[in-house]
Amino acid sequence: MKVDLHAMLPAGEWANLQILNQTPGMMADKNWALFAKAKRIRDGGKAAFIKFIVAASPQAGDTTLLVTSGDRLKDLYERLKHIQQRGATVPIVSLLDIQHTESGLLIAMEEVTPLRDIIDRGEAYHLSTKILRDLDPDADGNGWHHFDVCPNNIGLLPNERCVLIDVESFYLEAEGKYNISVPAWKPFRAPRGLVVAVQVQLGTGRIDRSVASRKLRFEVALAAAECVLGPIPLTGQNLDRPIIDAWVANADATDPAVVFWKQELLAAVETAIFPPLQELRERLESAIKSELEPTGAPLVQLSSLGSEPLEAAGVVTSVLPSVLPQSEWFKEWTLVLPMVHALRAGRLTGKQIIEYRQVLQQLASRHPSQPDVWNELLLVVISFEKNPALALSLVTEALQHIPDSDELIRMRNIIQKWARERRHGSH
Amino acid sequence: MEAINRIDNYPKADVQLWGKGYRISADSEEFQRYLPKDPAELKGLDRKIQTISWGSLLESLYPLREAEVAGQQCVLFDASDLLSVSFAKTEDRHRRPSLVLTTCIVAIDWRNPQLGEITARAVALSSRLATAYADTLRGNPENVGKQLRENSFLTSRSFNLGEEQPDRTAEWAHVISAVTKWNGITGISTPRLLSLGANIVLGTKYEAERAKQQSQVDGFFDARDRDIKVLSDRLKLWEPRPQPSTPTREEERPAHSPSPVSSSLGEPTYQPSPELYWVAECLQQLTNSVDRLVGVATDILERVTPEKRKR
Repeated sequence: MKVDLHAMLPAGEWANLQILNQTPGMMADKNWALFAKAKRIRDGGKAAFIKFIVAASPQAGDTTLLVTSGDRLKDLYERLKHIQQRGATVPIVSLLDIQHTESGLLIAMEEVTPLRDIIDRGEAYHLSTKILRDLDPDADGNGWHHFDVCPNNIGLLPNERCVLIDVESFYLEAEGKYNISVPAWKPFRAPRGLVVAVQVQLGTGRIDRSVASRKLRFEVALAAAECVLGPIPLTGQNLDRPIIDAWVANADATDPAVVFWKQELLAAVETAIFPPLQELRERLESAIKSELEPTGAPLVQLSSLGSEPLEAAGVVTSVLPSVLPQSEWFKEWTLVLPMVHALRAGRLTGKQIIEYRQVLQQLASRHPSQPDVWNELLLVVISFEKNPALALSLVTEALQHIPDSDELIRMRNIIQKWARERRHGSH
Repeated sequence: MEAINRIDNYPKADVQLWGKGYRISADSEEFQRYLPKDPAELKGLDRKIQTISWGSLLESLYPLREAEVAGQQCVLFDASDLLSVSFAKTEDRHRRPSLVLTTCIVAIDWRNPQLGEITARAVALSSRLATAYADTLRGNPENVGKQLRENSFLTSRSFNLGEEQPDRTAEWAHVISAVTKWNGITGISTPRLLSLGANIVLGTKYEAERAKQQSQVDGFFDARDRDIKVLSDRLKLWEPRPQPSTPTREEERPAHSPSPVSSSLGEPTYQPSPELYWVAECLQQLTNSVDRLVGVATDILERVTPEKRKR
């Protein structure tokens, strides 16, 4: 059946509709769904990702009918409507629009950055604890389950909140159980003991709360580990000790987060159980902190920059340590990156900007040869604080450490001129 | 949940969409209302827009660049609503320049301390929709015309202001604060959109005095002093009302809580004295005629000058 999304979507509700040819996943591989990007005109104009699952004809094969039959799509529509009503109380991407017609099921959701992409770029380190926090099924009461949690199915919203995508795999609890309509998941991301426990229950078409919770914890923790260790090597076999060893072998053995995840993963593949995610997160934060504390002078705590506005601004604060070591510049810079983004997005208050500058000053005192930290400092002082005297002092200090930087010399000249004008202007 | 509550604290806005190239509310392809299709859905200030004579207004916008058109703003007021009007440039199916107009009307309470924020969001919404729909209507796509005719272009005309990023091109909190001081304000507008019914210029004194030659202008919002500077005697400061022992229903409003337009819809409170009314009328007609002549002459000059440059 040919589906014309342009004709189907109300042109007053959606703009810039672009049909996507290739997206990862079973639906695309089997040509069961069309994918598109668009701008949602309602709700402030959010970028949206649209999935249209084409209804299978009655003559289709068994597998196709299982996933895309009219009846299944109707059930899915009902389920997604219930999930939509739960809003932000469940960690699923915002469902902007859901329409069920004879030709299929349209699901429009807020666009996210897939965690897989962030991990592949090596920029997910700071998300490890965030995933454990945002996707913790025990955090806000039980009642939800995602049957296929993996970095492809976790997304980062523009406000830095982690949410689950692949919404067809999201279920709400009914009488202590989850009715799994399409049991599609990745058993090679689980140890044999867990796979057996899940498969036994799937025989009944439903899994109970305890097995669901165990599976969910394992999959979320594994994704959090990938943020630190990088992508898990795929062998097609169930997760076991040799796979963990091979995976960790490529990571920095001196990094406390690497050490932490190695220990936890080795224990978890033996028992097929991860502890509650809150406990895991607290121990991870503690491991990073205790490792870092002995070195250097204490920095201003970013988490103290006014927790409420920063939470509202979606700034990641949980993984930021209270002290930063003298080495490992890149890792420390990565930890500051959420603030870099928050600054540019205009999400910091005046007080937070000053505190952010103080953090940068201390970072600069530890890593004075890094041009990035000086550039960021100067940006804050010039563009946000508008303080020529401080800017001049900083650029002079920067040039003492990086005397050959043409960029810094150019900046100093501009700042000197600005400071002179300011002095003359004030008299 | 807190964020959700914040969103729900804002009123809803109902939008209108106008354009040319489709036959929706009129049996021609001239500039007309696309949304709502049914005029019975219109209320208050929404209805006022239906009576505008569009020709000269649209003509004045065509020579402008896209950004200049998008920069035109007009907010009309009455006792219970505000209406923000925005334009954007687009093209018809023959790739000729065309214009899209969007409005959004919001029910307001003049005592609401958040009125400036509400106005900023209403302006942001009408402006954002004008730009978005200018793209949607560009070239008059057939499927868009079909949806407009079948009334399936929008699922609802009602938009949530809580999701909008407030417009920052004007300090709306200060603008509204200034508006509430004066009795007789029908709206505030950039000079080119004054003919929609506003009598306060959102611009400089020079622009206001210049606009006064063509439209009824009673003042301008001075961005430096963040106040309205009055240019006529038609605006009166709201006086605190004496507190009666048993307030009537009409007087239950607090002593200083204005609704800028105190007379019927869109009309200023001031009326010329009956003896001089016909003189004023004649003078206004004369002024309008001269303005039209000047406008035509200016247009001709603007069209001829680039030709000369090309040669």
